[in-house]
Amino acid sequence: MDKKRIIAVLNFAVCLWLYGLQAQAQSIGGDSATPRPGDNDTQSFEAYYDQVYQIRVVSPQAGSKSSIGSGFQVSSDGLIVTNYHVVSSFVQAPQNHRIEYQSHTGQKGSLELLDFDVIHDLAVLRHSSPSPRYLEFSSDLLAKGETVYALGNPRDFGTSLVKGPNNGMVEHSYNDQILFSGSLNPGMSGGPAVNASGRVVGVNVATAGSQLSFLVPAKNALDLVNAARAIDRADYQAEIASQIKQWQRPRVQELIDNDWAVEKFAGNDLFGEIRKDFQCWGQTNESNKERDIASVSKSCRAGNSVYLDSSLSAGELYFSFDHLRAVTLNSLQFTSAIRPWMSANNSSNYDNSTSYRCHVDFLEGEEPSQKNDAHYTRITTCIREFKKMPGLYDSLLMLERINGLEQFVSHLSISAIERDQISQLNRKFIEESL
Amino acid sequence: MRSLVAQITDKDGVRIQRFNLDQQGISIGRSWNSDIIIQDRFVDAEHLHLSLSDDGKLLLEDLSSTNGSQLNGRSLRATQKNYALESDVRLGDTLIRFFDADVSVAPAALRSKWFVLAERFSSWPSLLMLTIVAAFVHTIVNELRTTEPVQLDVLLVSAAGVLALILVWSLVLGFIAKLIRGESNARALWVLACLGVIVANVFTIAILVLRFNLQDQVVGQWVSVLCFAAFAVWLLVGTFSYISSMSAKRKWLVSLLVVISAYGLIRSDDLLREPHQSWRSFTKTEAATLPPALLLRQGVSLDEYQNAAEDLFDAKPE
Repeated sequence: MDKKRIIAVLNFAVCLWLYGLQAQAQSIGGDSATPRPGDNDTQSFEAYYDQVYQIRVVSPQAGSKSSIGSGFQVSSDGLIVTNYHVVSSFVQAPQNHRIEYQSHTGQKGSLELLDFDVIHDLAVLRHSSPSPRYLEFSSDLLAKGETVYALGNPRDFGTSLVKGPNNGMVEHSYNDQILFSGSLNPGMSGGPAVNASGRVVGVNVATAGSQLSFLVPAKNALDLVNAARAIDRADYQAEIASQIKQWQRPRVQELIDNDWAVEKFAGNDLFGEIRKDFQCWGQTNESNKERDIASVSKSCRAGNSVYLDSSLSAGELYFSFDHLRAVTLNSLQFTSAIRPWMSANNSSNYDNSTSYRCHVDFLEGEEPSQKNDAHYTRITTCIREFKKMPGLYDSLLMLERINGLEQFVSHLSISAIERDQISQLNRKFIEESL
Repeated sequence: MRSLVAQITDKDGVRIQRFNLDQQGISIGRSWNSDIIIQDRFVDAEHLHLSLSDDGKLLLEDLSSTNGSQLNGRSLRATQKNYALESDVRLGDTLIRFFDADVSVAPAALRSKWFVLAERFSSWPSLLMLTIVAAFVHTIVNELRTTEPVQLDVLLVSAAGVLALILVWSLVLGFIAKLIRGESNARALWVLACLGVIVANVFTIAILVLRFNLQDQVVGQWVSVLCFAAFAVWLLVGTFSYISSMSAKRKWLVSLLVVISAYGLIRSDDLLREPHQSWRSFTKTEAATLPPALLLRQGVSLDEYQNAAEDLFDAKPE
């Protein structure tokens, strides 16, 4: 499953207006929290359009917006909630960007970034001239099947309302995320999703297409607002590093400590969906009659990662098994076909990561049971460090067990983890794979 | 009286005869009484007469022979002609040249070991054998390194390819040698090419096994570079020996310069690259992978492995 973040980036402002089918005219008055529409009042949502701000990250050099998303005011003093990824280019290079808003009426102004949560993809901004009206978070539990109304400004065409049912929490995810069956589109990121009584239940965050959309639960946004912090821009990278460390520590430790349920792979006792957030896929080339090498493979991946920038992500957990057997080749030709290299599963670049450094060695041979059972095990470990987040590393591990005409490879790729946990998880992975 | 040397070339080869010449002269012919006996059925019993004039010049006279004689391609009649040393005298099927025994000979030519090498394969059977071995080694090594099943036509194409390469090499360089050195040495160049093919292929396999056991990409790369550079220098020095008349020192110097500049040219792209241009999101480790039988090094325990891998975290960022 490949989620796309619903942020509209420069040149992407092509579009698709989503008609808010339920949206009919009704004026709302009052100057505190926005009045709630009744469950059966289909005309009550017009007032909510006014509550959606378009959030723009502007690059002064280009004199134009470089990304747009949506946001909504959550307090009388002008706090605005949006997604972290809407303002990520500002966080990664504050000196080259500024954040602006545009209200429903076209009024523009600047916004100040106060706090963010890269794990749940949220950010809190301060409005320079707060509106008297704002949205309140819901304190009720969201029932499965309950209708949710998501608001946002898709691709800069204008504020839109998308209605769809809540389908509960996404399976195969470590973090809680609401599965919302409505079409969220680029630009709607950070917009509010409200229930029938107009209370915020979630924040639009991503889509996998075809009405498969995802919301950050309101609780995470509320926690961030309640923390009431204001991070200095000099501390942005340190803050991101600290959030990732805090999130990764229990997430990885659980994998190290837990028993991994046995799953068969190519006749061996191995493992697969080692926790609910892992999903595995397998394939073989059995149907190819002209194959020189018979291969069976399986790959498993955790459902979460941390988006930091268009060129940087972190926190991926991935592993795979490959079993190769020579069909027509001799042992020299077979081993020549093996190219032991690995590549990162998270995107990064020169500014953010060092190059991989690797250590390769052969493992002490277990006694071969028969004369013709000669084999060896080669292990490759490669590490690179995050340049702006000291103490966090990406690691690649490969274990190859080769006898004359067969090769078994197990590969582990983990991102943004501290060194003690990398060593422990690698160790566990090697022991479970052997 | 002068001391002279006659160099006689006939169908049996070259023979040398030293003699003294005075005013009385010497006779050259097929008769057993001749001073210089020429065994050639087209030569008369008394054919030529060589004498010394009063003022010390050499005089040559044809004694009205049946088939006549030639001096430097010109017919020699009964009259006495002046003979200049080292001129060609032809009588019948025989060629004679006279040298002054008192003139010192040229210093001995340096005999390069490269010619000794080539002459080890001077007989046709040994040359053929060498060629077959070269083609065989090349084909086998090529086949070992492919990842396709063995096919006869591929083997034949590979063997034919290397033979064509050796042929073209010998002809082209032979032609250049003829221009520069005056002799083609095509056979020696052929021997060198065959040896080169064998050495290069043996190197390839040896380096592969070494690098597989080293499992260190940086060191492995240097091993390859140094081995093949040494091979290239060797091949160039050999080639220069056959196609030019350079001194040994010069040959080595030129070869070394050629190889170093060629390597510099190939690597210049990498060396001039900025650090951010060589950043990669994938790993670079030793690609060499071989069957268990060729693993010669001892493995380590998992604990030892992990301890060594810990150093990766302490690496200074580049």
